[in-house]
Amino acid sequence: MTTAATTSTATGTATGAGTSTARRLALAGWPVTVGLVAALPWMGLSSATLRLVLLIAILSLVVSGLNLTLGYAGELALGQVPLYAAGAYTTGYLAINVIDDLLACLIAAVAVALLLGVVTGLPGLRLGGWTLAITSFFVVLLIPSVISVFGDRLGGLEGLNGIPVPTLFGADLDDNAFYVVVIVVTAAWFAVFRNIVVSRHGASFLVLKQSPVLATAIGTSPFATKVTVYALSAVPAGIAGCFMAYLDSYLSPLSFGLELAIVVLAAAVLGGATSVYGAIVGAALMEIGPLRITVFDKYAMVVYGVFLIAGGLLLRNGLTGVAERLGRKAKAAVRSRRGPAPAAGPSDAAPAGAAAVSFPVVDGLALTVAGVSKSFGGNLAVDDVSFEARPGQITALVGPNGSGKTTLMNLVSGYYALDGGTIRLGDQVISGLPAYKVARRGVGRTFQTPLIPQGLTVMDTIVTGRFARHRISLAESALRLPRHWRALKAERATGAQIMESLGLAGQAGTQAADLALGTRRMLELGRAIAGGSSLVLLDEVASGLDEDDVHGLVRVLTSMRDAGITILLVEHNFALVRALADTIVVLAEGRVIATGTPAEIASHPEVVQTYLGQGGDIAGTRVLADRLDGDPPDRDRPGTDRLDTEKADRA
Amino acid sequence: MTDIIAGLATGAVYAMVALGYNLTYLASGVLNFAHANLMVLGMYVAYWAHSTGNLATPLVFVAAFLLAGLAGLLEERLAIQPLRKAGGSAELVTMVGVATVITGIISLTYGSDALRVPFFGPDETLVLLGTRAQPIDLIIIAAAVVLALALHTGTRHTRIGLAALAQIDDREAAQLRGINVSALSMWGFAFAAAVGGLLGPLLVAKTFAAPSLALVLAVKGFVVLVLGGVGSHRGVLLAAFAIGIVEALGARYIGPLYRDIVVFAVFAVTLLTFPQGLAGGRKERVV
Repeated sequence: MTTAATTSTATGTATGAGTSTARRLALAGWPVTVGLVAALPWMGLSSATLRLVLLIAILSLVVSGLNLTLGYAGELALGQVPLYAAGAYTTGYLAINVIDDLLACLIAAVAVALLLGVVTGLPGLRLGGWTLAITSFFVVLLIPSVISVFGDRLGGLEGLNGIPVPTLFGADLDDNAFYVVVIVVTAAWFAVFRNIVVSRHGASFLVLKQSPVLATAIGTSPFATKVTVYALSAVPAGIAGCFMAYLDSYLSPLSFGLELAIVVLAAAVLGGATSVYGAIVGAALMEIGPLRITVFDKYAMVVYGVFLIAGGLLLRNGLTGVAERLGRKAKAAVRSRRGPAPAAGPSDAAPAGAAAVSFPVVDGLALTVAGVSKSFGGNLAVDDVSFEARPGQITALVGPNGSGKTTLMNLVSGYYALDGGTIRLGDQVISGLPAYKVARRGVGRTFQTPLIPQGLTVMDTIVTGRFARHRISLAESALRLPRHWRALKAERATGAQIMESLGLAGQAGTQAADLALGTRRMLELGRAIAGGSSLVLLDEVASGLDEDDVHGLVRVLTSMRDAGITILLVEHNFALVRALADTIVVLAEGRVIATGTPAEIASHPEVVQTYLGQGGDIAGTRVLADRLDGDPPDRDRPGTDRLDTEKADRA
Repeated sequence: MTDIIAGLATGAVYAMVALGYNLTYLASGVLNFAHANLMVLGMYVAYWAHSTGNLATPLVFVAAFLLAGLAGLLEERLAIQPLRKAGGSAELVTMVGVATVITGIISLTYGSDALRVPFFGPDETLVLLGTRAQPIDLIIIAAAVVLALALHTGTRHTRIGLAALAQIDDREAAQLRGINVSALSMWGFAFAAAVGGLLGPLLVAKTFAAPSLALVLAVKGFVVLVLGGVGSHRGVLLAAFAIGIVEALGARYIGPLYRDIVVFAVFAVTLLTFPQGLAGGRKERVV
């Protein structure tokens, strides 16, 4: 059965977590399925059934475009219908008036759809979310007026009649040949679509969906990614339009309206928008069910609406999501019967037990902050701050809440535009660059609340950290060119080494977003350095961690420093900072009040007064320092015999 | 000048949709995509009253208010509240679903043709400042202005309005300050929907009642909302009048076919020029 076969391949490949046998099966299954479907005309099926298969193929093309924008990039762009109409009318016009060649029309249809997609998408893409959704609805509304504006050439509101039988390279295509062409082209698109979404590009779409901030932190421009996705989603719509024009040899503006937009959305939601083959499942359900049963016609809109509500509420990622969850449960059941599971799986197991910790050696670059100021409204958040963070050292920014630590970090990252001063990385000025370009210069970072996208495994998440500095074009990934394979090999190797060092080696295939807080923080660290960052910014990396996690963290940070990375740390936990940092910069009310070694800072009168509180005695969870034995012996250890994991700024 | 007044009246209709979006946004933090459908529902209440006869005009308004309010209440409880924590575009999908269901039920009952309902007020043409104007146009313009002023005062100067502003800014913090955000969302949403329904019988004589009207109103209302600034009642009103005039003049001087195309072009160019919206306020803190 076709649909069953495709869903099972979807669960194997779309998550990227399948075992290698499942993967190989899926890879073999796709050509076999396509071959079978393409051979249907010679198996004595009625022309009505064949037409149904063609309609499913065409609708699934349109839906796959929506899956890309909605499911992967998280942008509700309902502009698939206008793009589909553009492809259809381009083909109709060319076939009647200029050249009746399927290939020529197909290329023209895709080109026009792409152009229209980018032109109508640009204004909404800037703002995204609701604006994009409504802009795309607006374009749906415009279809009849635009077609009427072209007058007789496109047949106006009465429709475009007399589209000839397609030819290919001068030969007429009969029904069966046309059928095979549609199936093969559709299959080829789905192969490309799959290649893209399981590649790093798919991962970068998911990152953007989760958080535009994170997208810039890994060196991708959210706007460029959105335009890419939007343009890409125009391709299947254009192809589908071309096929539709030839299939019916008649086009009516009425068939490209709101109802079709709702059908496409319902198919995407039912099939599962964040999946490859869900588009086919959703399209098949819509074509076999509602669109065919005429009794149903009257209630069609009500039913689609109910599909959307129920799908949105109940089916997380549609039927594909249901299948995946069932698959996961079945696997877990098998595993539990075989005996205790290996160390893998989401658990609180902290990476404390990690053995030899080593990271790829990096040429760290010094961060020089010179005279930097930033105000929000009238509030001077950072006031003429200067300091330097040297390679192979840990520099800590400490200070009470509101002293400007995070603001400073965001200024370095490029999230805020500074009002004065310069920031240099090595000998290059990075202030004034957009955040994604700062990331590409080799600045990795973590966030106060870990930003881990849904739908990515631990391995995938670490690999997203390499996007900034190791770039592969979309075409290279889509067509699986050699550079793609080389990059894949390199990123798997680096990813494995980093996971090993972080103590995450057993969890490569685990869904990253399901991990415990401490593990997610470790993962963020791994992502921040995966691209070979020269500088990493760690924003309150220890907050919310328990004792074991903190000890694991200390070990990891120490070896990151030993690998030559420049580390800038914002941290409240003064005891941790004393144990770790080579240099401490103390901020208060946006100004640097002291800079020095931990020992100097601990005895600095003004610091003790304003920051550590009177007496500087901090009570809280005590952690014995002998648990810090992972530290290399040459570190100058703090004189105290305990660490304190409680926030020091309770003043 | 006649075009200008007609344009202002069209703009006033869009303003009412956008003010409805503002109201649901302030109350619950989401924009109710189905708001225009609820207004159309109010129009059909008027049509139903007209076709059965003998329902006093105030009762028509009450019926439209209650029906749309009930529909809004159900929408909030069934399609929005459960997705509060889901994030992303989940609720956008369910709201499109609600809109589709409402439109579907209406076309199932009354068909898809536009239905005329006569205006309950005076309908003789007035001569005003040397131009001719329809009383209904003037009443609709006045109603939009009054609605915007009322919302503006209501959000700035009442406890509920301030509570709404607080929860838009930070839902959790508002909750900690003792604001019952769940109740605020539910009743605010229902109230906004009810107000939308209430406007239906007023607008129907100008717009006619048609299922396809909802999407047009939803889209134009949103255009106005983005241009005027989400949450800004005055900005929305001004943007709506501007768009109404652009639409009327575009239809007059370029051609009726270009009515919507001109609006889209203006919208697109404005968005590209001012990506943060005309109102401009933007949050800088991102991390």
